[in-house]
Amino acid sequence: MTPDGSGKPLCGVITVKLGLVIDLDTCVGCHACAVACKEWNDGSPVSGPLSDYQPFGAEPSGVWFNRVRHYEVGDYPASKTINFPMSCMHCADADCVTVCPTGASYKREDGIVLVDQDKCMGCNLCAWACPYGARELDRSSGTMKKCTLCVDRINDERLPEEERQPACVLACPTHARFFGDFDDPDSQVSRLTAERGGFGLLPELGFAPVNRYLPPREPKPLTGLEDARSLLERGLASLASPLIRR
Amino acid sequence: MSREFIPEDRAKQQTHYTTCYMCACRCGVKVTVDNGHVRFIEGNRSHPVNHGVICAKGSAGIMKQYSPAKLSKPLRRRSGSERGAGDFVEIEWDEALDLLTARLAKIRATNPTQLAFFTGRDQMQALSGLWAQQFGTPNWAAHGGFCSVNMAVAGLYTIGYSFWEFGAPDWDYAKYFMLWGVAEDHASNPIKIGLDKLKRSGAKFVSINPVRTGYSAIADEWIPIRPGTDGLLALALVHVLLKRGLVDWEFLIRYTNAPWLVVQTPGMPGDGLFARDGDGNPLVWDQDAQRLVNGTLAGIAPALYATRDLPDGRRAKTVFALATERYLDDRYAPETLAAECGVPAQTITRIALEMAHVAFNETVELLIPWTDMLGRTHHSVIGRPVAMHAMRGVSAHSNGFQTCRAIHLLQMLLGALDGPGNFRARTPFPRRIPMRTLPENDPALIFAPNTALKRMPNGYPARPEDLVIDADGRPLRIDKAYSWETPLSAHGLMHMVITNAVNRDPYPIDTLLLFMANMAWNSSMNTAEVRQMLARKDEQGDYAIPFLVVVDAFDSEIVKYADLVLPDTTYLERYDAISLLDRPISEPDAAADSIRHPVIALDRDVRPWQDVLVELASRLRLPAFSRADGSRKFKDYRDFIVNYEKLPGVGFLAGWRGKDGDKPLRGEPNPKQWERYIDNKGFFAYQWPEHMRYYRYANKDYLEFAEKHALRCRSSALPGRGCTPAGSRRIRGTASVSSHTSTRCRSGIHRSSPARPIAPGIR
Ligand code: SF4
Ligand code: SF4
Ligand code: SF4
Ligand code: SF4
Repeated sequence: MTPDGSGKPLCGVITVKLGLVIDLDTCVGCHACAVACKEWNDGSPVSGPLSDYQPFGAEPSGVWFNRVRHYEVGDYPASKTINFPMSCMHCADADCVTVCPTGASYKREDGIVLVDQDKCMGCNLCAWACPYGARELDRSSGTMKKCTLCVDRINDERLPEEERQPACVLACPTHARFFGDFDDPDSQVSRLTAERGGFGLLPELGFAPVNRYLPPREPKPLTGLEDARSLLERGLASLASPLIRR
Repeated sequence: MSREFIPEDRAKQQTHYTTCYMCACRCGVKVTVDNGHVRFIEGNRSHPVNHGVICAKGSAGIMKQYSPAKLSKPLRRRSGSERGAGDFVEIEWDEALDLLTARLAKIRATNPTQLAFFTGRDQMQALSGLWAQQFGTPNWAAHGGFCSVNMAVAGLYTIGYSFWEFGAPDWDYAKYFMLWGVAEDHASNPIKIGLDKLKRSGAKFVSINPVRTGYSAIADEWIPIRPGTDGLLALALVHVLLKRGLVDWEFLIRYTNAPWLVVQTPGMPGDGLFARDGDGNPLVWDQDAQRLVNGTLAGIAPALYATRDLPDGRRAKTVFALATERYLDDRYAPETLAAECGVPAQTITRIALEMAHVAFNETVELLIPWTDMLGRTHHSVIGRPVAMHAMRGVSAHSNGFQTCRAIHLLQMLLGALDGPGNFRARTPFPRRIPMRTLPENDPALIFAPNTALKRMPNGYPARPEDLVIDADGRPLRIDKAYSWETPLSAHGLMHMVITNAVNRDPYPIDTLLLFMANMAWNSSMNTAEVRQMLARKDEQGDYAIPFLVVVDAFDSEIVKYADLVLPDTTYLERYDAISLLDRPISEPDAAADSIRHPVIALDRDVRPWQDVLVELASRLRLPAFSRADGSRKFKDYRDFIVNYEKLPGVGFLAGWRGKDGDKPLRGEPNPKQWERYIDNKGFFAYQWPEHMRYYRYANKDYLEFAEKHALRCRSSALPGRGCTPAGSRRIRGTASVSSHTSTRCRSGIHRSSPARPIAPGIR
């Protein structure tokens, strides 16, 4: 990362592609990531506040960078609940940027897609262009809001090193979220993606999303199943007391 | 920092470590404060409960802090206005405290039972319980009656510890994990952290739950069960194990009362009680000597299946023979129960065999030498790595007590308790079975004016004589806890208080004092009727509950019905001790407690309820809070926490005791104790050495250490007969003090609990 934090590579050779890995095998759909994201970014100067409409009223709603969706797949009783957190995919080929008439929507060289709050006029074109529903218009500020990849955490050298991570990643109680550089083959995100068959969402749309989802693991069969089978074949136990000393 | 934004001025920000209170898990949090305003709440990375992560509620603590529903001033119902209208006059604290002290003093000087003091998800029950005991009313409890009492009683009376706060699954070594009736909480972050560990290690996670949400979503196998039938499923699993002899014989013989003989004289006194020798020791049939012997001795070979005639001619059968007869019956066959549970018989059989396979073929052995209660040293610790956890989905059913017992029976058959990979105990558990803390039940004390109770209001009855009833068998408590209706209601029955008080059954009360207890969820969810009851008047036009005091940080439905409202602080504005005398935050490998301290300044006229309790206690001259001359012993709550000693060297906080702070767990008060906690990021953890980590119901070193440091009599066992000074009682073998040897009936007949087929015979 650059000393000025702007995300410009130090020289032309190093490329950086920052994004998230989300493990669908362990995500329990608890919304901790979404709330931590909201609380951190609400006070962040990058795109905050994330306005709330009637936060303590009867129908609270507001702007979120990250929303957790829940789906049921398969038929009962062989059905499965899939929890699916979605935030900006920081697409390599992002139409949200190209459609923006003011230049407010832009992609940095480290891959992070941001909205310049001072330039945005709230026309909503980018939100229509984004196929992932990652952008939300803030009705209070009249500007577009989206995941910043916590750019004000990951580059902030005033924070202890282990805290230079997105708020959602640090919060996640099942450690289902990982942040890193997908251009570095040795990074945790690259390795996890390779090992677990991480996939990008809707690649056929051509946006080249960067974030990766890890599919649920196949349950590991119990080892020594033969023994289990022999247990099954075991007949009725005799009702004689075993001779065991206390 | 960059061209896009002006970074936050971190120099202006401070970080503080304290404890979350957005739910009951008590995770450590790091709070960033910017210009006196809470900027961000994240997990404390070094905290034993949450290891840095935080849940959605935890980070949303900011929203609670800045909620417009916060109360800001003491309130008195405007005279002439009706309850429920919410028409209040703001008053000063002096007036509020004078008014309340006068009322309470009068009650205490006449009939202390006229005060009912009930609290919600109170994390300072050790203090509120002590206060009630000192006041002299038996009418005290926290919210647990509806929530967790079934689960807790089943565990504490069966294995000496229980699900949720008193134990935890061993996420590191478990290879098979069964989760019964838990959606997304109890515990929140610890379970999530644990499930991730299981998923990584490839352990199998089976969830038994009617709906597949929350944790169940990621289960390897989901067993959609018909609600309320978990106990039948557990007993069907027991049937399969017994039928194939897939049980840990050694565990049953050494660590449980399975071989003990039970008197069989149907319809006659003594039926179902343990057969005992003249010294009160349980009798077993020794296969070597071919005679009845004291079942607590080492080296004997007790028969698990035996029917024998006792010297007095009565017939007796072993616990295990009785259990086998009952559960081998076709009533419990998977084929019989499949339709009732909604789980196919093959699935039930397969699950039982998988558990047995993991328990007996996938054993974990750790090369940690340890010494058992009979003084034998073992060169390693063997784990049968099946772990279980259950909570409200099971507990809140009317049959939750029996269901949890069945789940514990299953764990005992597998020998899967407090070993590597099992459901493990958290200090101060396991305790003796049953715990030796009895609820106060002496009518002469309970009705005595200006007199503290000798025992705590809550406890663990073991005999009819322990019930809290009068000579005619009528309940002595307003919630009827420990009466014949609900003899084992260890946490009290808060949800019955308003109904009983309004019906004057068993008696009317004068004042109901509620702390953080919105009756919307402390009333069996009967919210509409609770409001009507609170507004109900008698023929004279007086309210059926004459005076209602509500203490809370926030407005709520119940506040509108109060005659007096005392506004509390939020959890970020006050001191708190999360004590080992209370609901502890210990982990299986460490005894632990923690604190809260103010991280932001107060901006309204509210007071921490703890301080108000100490103030009221001082004004009322409650003995534990006053000197001989009647003057106050403690300046405030902070001072109380440092200087109050329940036993010599045992206080609310276990860390940095001793005047120099060098005595963990037990030592004289340390005036700098709060500072030490704050320096250590808000918590204290005492790591158990390896040889004290497992089988703690039978681990000599652990038991002796715990006794010495008065650990096993902490938690809800404040002054009472559960504690003796360190070293005054020798540690005896596992079954040597069974559940019952210590409790002879007044009639002189030895007794036992007929309702419990198998329990580790631990003390
Ligand atoms: S915090 Fe983690 S487990 Fe919870 S919804 Fe987000 S990704 Fe899933
Ligand atoms: S997810 Fe949407 S907002 Fe984010 S980069 Fe892709 S197109 Fe743009
Ligand atoms: S990376 Fe930051 S901004 Fe993006 S979803 Fe996570 S917390 Fe929110
Ligand atoms: S789980 Fe922990 S962080 Fe979440 S609300 Fe409960 S105590 Fe707070």
